Amino acid sequence: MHDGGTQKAADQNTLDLDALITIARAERSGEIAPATASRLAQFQAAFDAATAPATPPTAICFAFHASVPPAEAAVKYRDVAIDHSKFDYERIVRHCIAAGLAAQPGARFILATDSQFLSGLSHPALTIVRLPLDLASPMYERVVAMCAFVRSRQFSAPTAFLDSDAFLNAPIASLFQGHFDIGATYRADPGLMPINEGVIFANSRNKDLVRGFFAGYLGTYDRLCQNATVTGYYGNVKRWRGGQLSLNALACPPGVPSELDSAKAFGARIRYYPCSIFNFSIEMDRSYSGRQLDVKAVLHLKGSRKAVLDQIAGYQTERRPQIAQTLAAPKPPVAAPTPADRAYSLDTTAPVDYEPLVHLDYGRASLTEIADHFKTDKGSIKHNYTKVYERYFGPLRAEPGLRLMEIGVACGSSLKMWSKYFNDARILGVDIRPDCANLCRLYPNIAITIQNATEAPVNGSFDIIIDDGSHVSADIVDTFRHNWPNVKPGGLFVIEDLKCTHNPQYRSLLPFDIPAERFDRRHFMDLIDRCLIEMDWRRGDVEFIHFYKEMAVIKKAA
Amino acid sequence: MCGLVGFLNFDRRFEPEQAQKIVRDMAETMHYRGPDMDGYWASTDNLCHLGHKRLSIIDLSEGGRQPMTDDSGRYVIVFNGEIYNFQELRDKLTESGVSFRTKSDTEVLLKGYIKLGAALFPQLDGMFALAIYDTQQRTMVLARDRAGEKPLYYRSEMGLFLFGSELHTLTKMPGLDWDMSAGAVALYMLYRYVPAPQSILEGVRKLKPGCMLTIDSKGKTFERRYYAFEVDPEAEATQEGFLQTCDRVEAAMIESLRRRLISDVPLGMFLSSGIDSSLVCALAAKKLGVVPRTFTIGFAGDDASEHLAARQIASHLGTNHSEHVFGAADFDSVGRSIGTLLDEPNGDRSCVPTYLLCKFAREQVTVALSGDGGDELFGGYGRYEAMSKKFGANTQDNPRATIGGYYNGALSVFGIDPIIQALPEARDTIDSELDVSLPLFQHPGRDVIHGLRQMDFAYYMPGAVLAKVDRMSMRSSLETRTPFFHQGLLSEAAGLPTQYCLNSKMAKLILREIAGRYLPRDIALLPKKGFGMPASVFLNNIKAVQLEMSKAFETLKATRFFGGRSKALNVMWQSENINATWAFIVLGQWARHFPVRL
Repeated sequence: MHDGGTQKAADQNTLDLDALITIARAERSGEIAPATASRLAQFQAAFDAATAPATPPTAICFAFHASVPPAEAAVKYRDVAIDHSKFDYERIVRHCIAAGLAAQPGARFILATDSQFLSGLSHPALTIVRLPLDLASPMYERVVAMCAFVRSRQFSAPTAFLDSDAFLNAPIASLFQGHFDIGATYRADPGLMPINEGVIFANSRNKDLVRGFFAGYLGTYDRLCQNATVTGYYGNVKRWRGGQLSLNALACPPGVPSELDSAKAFGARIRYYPCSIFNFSIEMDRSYSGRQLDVKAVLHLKGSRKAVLDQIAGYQTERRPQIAQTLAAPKPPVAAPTPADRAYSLDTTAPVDYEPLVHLDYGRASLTEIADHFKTDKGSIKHNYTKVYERYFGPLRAEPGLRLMEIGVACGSSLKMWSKYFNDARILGVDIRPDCANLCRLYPNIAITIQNATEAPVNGSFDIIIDDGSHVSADIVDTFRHNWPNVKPGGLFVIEDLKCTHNPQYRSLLPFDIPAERFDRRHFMDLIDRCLIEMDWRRGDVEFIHFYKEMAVIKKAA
Repeated sequence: MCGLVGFLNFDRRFEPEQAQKIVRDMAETMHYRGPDMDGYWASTDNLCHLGHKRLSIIDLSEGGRQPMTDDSGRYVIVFNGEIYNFQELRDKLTESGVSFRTKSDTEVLLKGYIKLGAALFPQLDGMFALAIYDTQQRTMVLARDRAGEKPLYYRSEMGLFLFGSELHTLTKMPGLDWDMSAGAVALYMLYRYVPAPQSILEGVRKLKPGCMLTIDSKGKTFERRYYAFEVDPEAEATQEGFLQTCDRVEAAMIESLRRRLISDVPLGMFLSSGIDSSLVCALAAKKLGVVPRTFTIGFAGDDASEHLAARQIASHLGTNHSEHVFGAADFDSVGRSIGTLLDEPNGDRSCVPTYLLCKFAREQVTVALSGDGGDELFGGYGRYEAMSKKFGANTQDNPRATIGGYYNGALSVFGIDPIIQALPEARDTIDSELDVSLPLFQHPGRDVIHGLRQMDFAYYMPGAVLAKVDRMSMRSSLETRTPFFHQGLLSEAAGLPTQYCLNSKMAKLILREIAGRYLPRDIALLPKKGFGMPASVFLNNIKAVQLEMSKAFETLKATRFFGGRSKALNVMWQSENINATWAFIVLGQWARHFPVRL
């Protein structure tokens, strides 16, 4: 008969999480070793010495960040793998702070960190506490810091302990009306520890019980560091995983957690909050509507999910525009474009999604800035079309339900640019290469269809069509013939890269076998000529044709 | 369908013969739960005693006899209920090397537990309360189904642990005091039933639905949950999605029915004018080719009596339909004695018609399908719409006000303030009780109905509805089965967005859409009536009500509990709310007939 798996503990290779937690439970201890106690006192002194507001805030958000040294950045444990060097933690933590202060009016944000991180940052509602951290043991130091915080005078209000990549998305103060001391967030995914350390709530109605709980959290952690089975399973748990396991030792209920249940640990009453709402982990392979994200209290970009920081930060900033102003970040220096940047627009490369790491406030950025941000060659990286586009598209930027089709997807960079430039547009990318269909998955307003626009019209009715396809003269004409009827009255049809219609080297650059005759500039010139004749006779539906360097803009009569 | 009892005689306070007599006495209190057979088992060390009363439904042979031991003799089980997927589980276990002696579901549970431990319970599609004893470890496990269809009471004392299917069964255990508890009376006044884990009696607990309880060899207990109904409507509402959800719900419902229609004894279905029972009957008739026997009761002289609409549905579906029209005298006599048929007070007014319906159906069948659970799962109660209008998706800032609004208004019995006035010592109980559900209303931007569905699934449904169905059907030795608690339906229900539950005109939109595929639209769209007592009966008979109230007053005054709490009694007496009046009458009737003096 099964009794929670204690018997299974013997063999580390067959150890499951259930068994691991059972072992950890047996190590529960509220006693803090003397060496830990002196560090704890040192940390507490730092919290006590930091500025605190005269009146208690509505709630406190607490985040911790240790700048892990480059040699330690790559973490590879049994059930977690992440490379910290891939992420811009300054931006992540800045957003975490701004989102917390914006979501919970009257909140205070406490950032516990090392001596260097985010130096120079200041905000009236932000207290940065600099601690003498052991950077090789970030998870352990975090628990010492939390434990020191609840013992200090800073713990003056209900507190949400957030991972630095867990962003508050709704007010939380009313959560603490309940009769509980510790709020733990749970999930029922097999293979994951049921209680997640990324979001923990601590009520301030009885601070001693909370202190007792955190003493247990730290005391248990200390003992797990000495437990041969645990260290045999994970390795160095001071660096990673030990905090999560200690928390589960204290707060994980037997069986399935439920919002209607409660438990006790070290005298503190624990209640349970579902991760699906209160510690929501974005799934990378799906897109979310605003409504689906609006009902989440915390959005957590665990591990490699930090790659979608821009989308999430963008969504949150759009919802609470004050986020953009809270910690007005210095504009990231614009690096001069390099030849490598052009790779994302060349049509001969294998399509690879490019996701920028730095933040851009799309709402206030120019089209050229957004173009360079996504590394499309329409901006200063190469063609400078964006300056022209802004003249025509600027007035349409806030147009509700705008529909834009671009023929020629490459790596999807320009589609991303359009999707962020317009406030409410649906973007359709068209390409003949099946690989392109997998691009832009994280952008709910971008769709990609695989078809040949030179052979048949693409279904739909568009405000804007852009031909950035093969640039072969005859193809341009066929594409226009098929698709011009689908431009809405008053809409625009743009043809890019006209240089290709007379550049003798262009044919050798194309990987497709196209008859030489089709490259003849005459096809394109005939099309223009026919249009001009129709216009002169005041027939047809072309209102104007404007030529710029390498491009033409054709407007349909309204 | 059965009754189970047992105890762990840790301190050996009873000699073996004495212990065996006690377990028989306990079982005998529930003869109606299992009139066909009884069985007893005792461990050789006089520690564990088990008893079982059996109503035979599947495997009528001796093979299903309980208590049942495994081949090694190490494990013993007593079980009450029905496991609808036991054949599939049996096949799965056989594949992994488990061998079986009988064709009974009991053996599948026993051996499944030996093989899988707690991981067995989430795999079960069925209703159950069970106890499994391990003679080697001297430990026992109790478990109860997800929704709480089958009851399980227990009491843990120093040196003694006892359990049983019904509350009054436990009182056959000598040497223990039985008192009402102030907290439980306050909860009864709040809800008109006492929610698990409390019971009306001090020290007696009910195992929470979806939970198991382990009792170790020293008598220490550990509770473990294996199921929670949690609503997370992340799905966006779309026209296409609505129809797809309907298709999935219909498929799950058919699968559920297919399993629940298996029976070795005559089986029928309750049919009211409501959408839940009509849909159950319609799918059985139209999709599974069954010609169901359907049962309805009506009330003479009531134009709105449900049997008229039910007759129309039955004729449309071509069921083998029986109806019985009761007169005022029938309702009156049951109304005057309903509390005596309840082991624990339950102020749900539909106990009376449910009792009459079960009694009527039992004349022809041994098993009946009912439509319970549809309201909680698919958003059917009228009070959901009212609460949704009032609070919408804005409960997060003041969740207490929402819960208060529910129990003071929409689902009010005595109301919170009068309870605290009546029983000041229960203030903390009420306060922490209301606190339990708080997190359900703290989800940002979630419509209040989802928290209510989740709360009702955990409280009102097992506490009032399913307790009523179990006790009233068992009184007639009728087994009831509820198709809505199939696992697939539970997960569909958990993912419903508000727009699929109700709109301003109608509730249970999913079920109505499916019903509309098989029934005329006017039936599928009939508004909910609720299976209450006809309003004109009994409670309108002022004299009868006054008489019952006086009797209740006198009975309760004579109890130890209310003897010193005349204020509480006066508050109850003075309430003018119909729910409160009825709850008071039932409490009085119950106390008057409870086998030990309270």
